[in-house]
Amino acid sequence: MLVTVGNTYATYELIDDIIYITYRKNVILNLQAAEIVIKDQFSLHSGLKRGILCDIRHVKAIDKAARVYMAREGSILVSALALIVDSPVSIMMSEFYLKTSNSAVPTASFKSTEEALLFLNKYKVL
Amino acid sequence: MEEKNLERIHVINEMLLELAVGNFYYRIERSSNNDEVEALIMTLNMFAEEMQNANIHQRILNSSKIPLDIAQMSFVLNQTSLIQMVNANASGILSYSNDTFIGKPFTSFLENESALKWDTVIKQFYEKNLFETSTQLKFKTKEGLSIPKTVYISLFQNLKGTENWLLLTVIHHSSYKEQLDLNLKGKINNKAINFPNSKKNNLKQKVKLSYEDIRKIRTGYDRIVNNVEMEFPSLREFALELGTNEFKLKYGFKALYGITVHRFLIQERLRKAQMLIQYSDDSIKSIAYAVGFKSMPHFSRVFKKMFNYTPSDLRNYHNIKDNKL
Repeated sequence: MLVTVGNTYATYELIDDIIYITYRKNVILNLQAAEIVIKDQFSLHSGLKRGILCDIRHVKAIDKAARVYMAREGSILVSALALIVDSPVSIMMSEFYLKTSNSAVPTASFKSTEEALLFLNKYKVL
Repeated sequence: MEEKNLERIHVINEMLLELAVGNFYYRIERSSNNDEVEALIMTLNMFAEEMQNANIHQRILNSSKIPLDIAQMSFVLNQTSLIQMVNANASGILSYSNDTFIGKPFTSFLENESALKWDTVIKQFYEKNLFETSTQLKFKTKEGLSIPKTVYISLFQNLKGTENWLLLTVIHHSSYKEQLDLNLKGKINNKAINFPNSKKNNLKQKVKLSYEDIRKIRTGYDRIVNNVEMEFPSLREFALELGTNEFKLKYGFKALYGITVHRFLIQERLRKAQMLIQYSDDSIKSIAYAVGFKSMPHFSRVFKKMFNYTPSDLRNYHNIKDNKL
């Protein structure tokens, strides 16, 4: 099953029960943006828990309100979260988030989609 | 390229110096680079943001120096009470960026009642040709919190000498000063024990927290956030689980987060419930139980109190919205 949606901040694909979120280039995430991102993400959940593969390689910045919202409100219905990183900025962004957000959702960052999928599949809700 | 990097390092050093003296309002402008230096700049910005937030709650700024009074916020207004200048403290305290203030009516940063009061005060100020006065006003932060303060108003001529402008200064009385006042009050009344507010005053006393205490309280905070559904033990038991005592947990939590442990738990449960009602298919009843409530009526009551609408209102609204799409 392939479902795709998108907004100003990201594009989404639902493939094999995993939601792929790819942020657009130079996106700056504040609370307002985070709400839109999460709302569109949840529209693909169909009320079910799902794994999220989130490509943050091109995100420019995310503020505290957005970080908190994503870690709290954004964590319901998420079985696990894999962040795709590569540049120094995206690596530090994910490390900062992992260190400060204390999200209850298993979260880790990866440099390849394959590794990320291996991680997400461990938490797949059957 | 080398020169450009030196410039960026210079800005980072400037930022670190500001952080060292407790100015957490500064940010470094981001560039389109995506290298190690840019990563450091981003981290520094986020770090400052975290510190600024902690500082607003704990008021730990310059705590070793214990200043008695410090000028907290300054505003320069023109004749029609439009803001011309503002200091960084004001933007930090009211949680708005500096640019937000310039050209805006001063009253838009006050509570409605205070805005009306301001109009009266300033009208009389000009009618009576005063040079200085003071008044009590309630400021409104971006998050909707209220900050009651005494505002000192002085008249001066603007640089061009064409208009009379106003300098508003808001003084923050530190807890040290408050403590001195409190002691004095106790002495004057000479009946501190029977003083009607003495219990309340005692409760307000600052609890001394070590870094270890703070770490334990933070663990408690995270445990609540990530386990809202858990059957919450008594405060005493929860304190023991965290390796601290009830007193430190109770007053330390309030001091760190500005909310009691119990209220925070309820708030987090409702936050989660609010999202689940909108985006999951579970019944409202099962959501109530899933986030840790024991009874539906209790859940509905506190939910309504917090959000001003009922859980069913939210679900209906969301369903209608979805069907329209």
